[in-house]
Amino acid sequence: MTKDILRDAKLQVRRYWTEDGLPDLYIGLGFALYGLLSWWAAKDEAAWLPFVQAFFLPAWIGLSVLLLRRFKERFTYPRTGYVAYARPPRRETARRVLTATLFAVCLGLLVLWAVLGNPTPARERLFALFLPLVFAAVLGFVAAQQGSWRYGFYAAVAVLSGVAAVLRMDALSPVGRTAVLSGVPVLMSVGAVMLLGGLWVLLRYLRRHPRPEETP
Amino acid sequence: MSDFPDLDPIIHAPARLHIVALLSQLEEADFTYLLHATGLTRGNLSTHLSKLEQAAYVEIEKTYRGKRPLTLVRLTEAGRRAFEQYRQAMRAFLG
Repeated sequence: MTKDILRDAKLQVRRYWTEDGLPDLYIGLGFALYGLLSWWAAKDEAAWLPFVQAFFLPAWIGLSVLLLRRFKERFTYPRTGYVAYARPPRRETARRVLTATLFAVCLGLLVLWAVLGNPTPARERLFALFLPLVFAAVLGFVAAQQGSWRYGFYAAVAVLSGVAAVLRMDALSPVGRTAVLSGVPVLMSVGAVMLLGGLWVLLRYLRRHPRPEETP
Repeated sequence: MSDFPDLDPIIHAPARLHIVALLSQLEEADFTYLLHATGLTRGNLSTHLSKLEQAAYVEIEKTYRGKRPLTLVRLTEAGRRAFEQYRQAMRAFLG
């Protein structure tokens, strides 16, 4: 029983961040908007589009701290309470930064290999499958950390959309192929599913936890 | 039975163990969150928090957010140490 309480408390604290569906909505909207931008970039060769694309994701991630806190202050904290998460130790932060850097370098090398090398159809397919698998790995990790079937479902959607896009690649126009290589199918499908999932969870959360009356 | 560890009675009560376990993962939490997470009644939670405060395991800060009263609870250094000792004792006992 004691062991259960300790394990459940850890899980409970981790889950609380996504209990209201707001992170799903924010991340889903970010993916969907980035997918639209990528689709636009595949169709149109406007010189400014790559710059917008390059700045969009860092800005979206940076804004998340501010916007999610605002939304949580408005919707979540008055209903089910406020928490401040403990900061990870410095060594853990350094490990995370190192992992992210290594991952970015590997991704960059893969892009160079696929784009600048000899882009055979087999290489293109492999490359098109890589991004959905990365999405699935990250979402699957969150699912395992929080014991959340919802994030597991998002991970499954990432894999399925990637596989479906790769299977249809030969039948697509050059614009469609570029869009697949830019990850448009996985961004749009995971974004849409996260938006719907987040909205469903938020509505259920608001119904279960009505806002308490203001004290005069 | 002689191997049974000498457990801290303040932490060992299930409701207080739940509260301390939650707070050990956090920098701080408010009273509303602890109500939501533990499922205790207001009175029950207040009683358990008072016991933990008397043992200097938690510190309680009463403040306001806008016009709304806000009761913040955080684990003290002594509380973290006591919780870690409790965990180690339980781990050693359960194997």
